[in-house]
Amino acid sequence: MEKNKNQKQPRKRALGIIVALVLLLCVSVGGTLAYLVATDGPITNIFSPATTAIRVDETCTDNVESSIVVTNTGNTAVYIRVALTSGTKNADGSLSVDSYENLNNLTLGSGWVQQTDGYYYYTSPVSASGATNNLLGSSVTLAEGQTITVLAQCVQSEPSNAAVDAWGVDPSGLKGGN
Amino acid sequence: MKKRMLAAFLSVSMLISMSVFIPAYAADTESQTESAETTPAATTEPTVTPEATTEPTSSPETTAPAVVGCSECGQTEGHAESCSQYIAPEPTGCAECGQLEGHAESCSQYVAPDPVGCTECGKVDGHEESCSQYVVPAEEACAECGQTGGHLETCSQYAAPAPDVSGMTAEEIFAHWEEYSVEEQQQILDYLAANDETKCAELLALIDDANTLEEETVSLTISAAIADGSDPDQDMIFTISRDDGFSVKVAILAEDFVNGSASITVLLPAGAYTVTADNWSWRYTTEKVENADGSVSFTYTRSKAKWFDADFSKSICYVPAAGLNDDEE
Repeated sequence: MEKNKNQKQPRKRALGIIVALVLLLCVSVGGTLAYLVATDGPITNIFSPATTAIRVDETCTDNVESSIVVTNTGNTAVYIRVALTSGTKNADGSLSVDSYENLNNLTLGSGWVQQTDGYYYYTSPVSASGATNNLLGSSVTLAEGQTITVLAQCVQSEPSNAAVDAWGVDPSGLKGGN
Repeated sequence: MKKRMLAAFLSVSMLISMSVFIPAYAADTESQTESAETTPAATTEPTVTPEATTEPTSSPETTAPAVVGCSECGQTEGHAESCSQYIAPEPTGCAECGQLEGHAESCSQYVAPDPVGCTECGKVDGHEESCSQYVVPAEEACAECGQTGGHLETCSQYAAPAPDVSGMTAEEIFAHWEEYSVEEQQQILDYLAANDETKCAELLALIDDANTLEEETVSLTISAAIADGSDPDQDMIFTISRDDGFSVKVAILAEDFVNGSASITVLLPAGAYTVTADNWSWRYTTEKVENADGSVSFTYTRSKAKWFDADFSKSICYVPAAGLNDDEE
């Protein structure tokens, strides 16, 4: 009879230990959750959309145009292209247009290529706050009364097919840049 | 008895008549024969006048012997000019105009005299202002307003004073040339011609150039409209080209659009041109219409929304007088 009593005591101890561990686990998890619920505020996930913007800076002394630079004022890298138009604005608002020799066969600055569409493409993406090299490899002397309009345009450089889809041209693939 | 007396009276009368008239006739006939011998011209052109034949009898000269001349000059008819008894014949005028000396200008025989100019200045009519004999003509008063110097503003002959261009260059005058009336333009040219020939020539050259340009240019209007009436977010660029390779680009900026449309008038060298819309405004598809008046219209429809992009334009104009004008957009 005494032998059976001694065999039942270890089982009770093991059961007690298991119950104690379960209770400890419940208290610790519950306490943690209670703490987190009681102390953390709402979590805000911030997304920053890409913005694209550019600015043209030029330098002209008297009638000599020596520099045309395009700066990326957005927050994402872009490809840049430039178009130049020229003419003489008349008092009645009309524009007298002739084939100004000073815009034909421009000497281009480093990184610039003129494509068959007549536009000047900068072959490298311009990072945010970055700028292109000078478009003009040599100065241009404006004729009396001549108005030159610099039109610049950018498109996001990533993904790589963005420029191709928009412009039909892959600036990075253009050859002939200085 | 009466018959005998009458016969006797007639016989006596006839006797007396014959005794008087026959000698006179004989004498007259003899003098005519003698003068014919001394003046040969008289043989061809007898100078017997009707007066002499009709009234020869009562004159003592005709009755006197014709061979007796002037005791001083010896002339049988008349007198030599040196003779004291010479009487100058009365002058005979032109049968057409009646002038005694020369002829009236209306006469067919009139011969205009060679003009004789002033010995000092050489002018035939009047004198040069530099000539000492020049006389300043008296200024006549206007018949309408009575003014001697110029005219009152109410007078139909009044001309407004010319604009003061004395301190202006030819280019400055030309810059406002179209603002002047035709009369003012003429006054300016007259003033410059009289006071500054160089400036006058420069101005005329500018006017000629402008006229030539106007004659040799054509006007082309390009219109652009956004289909939905909104203003675009991209500039529009057009290529104007000619068969001989001439090609230029013009732009209508996005900011020029009002209610979704804008236009530009371009002056080009005379010729036939083709206008195409560039792919600069790549977000839009275009539809072109060539109008009957020669203008070209493009309708833009937004068709691409993908990708981030941006446009920026800046105009630089060189005007010597005012320097450079920058126009950022």
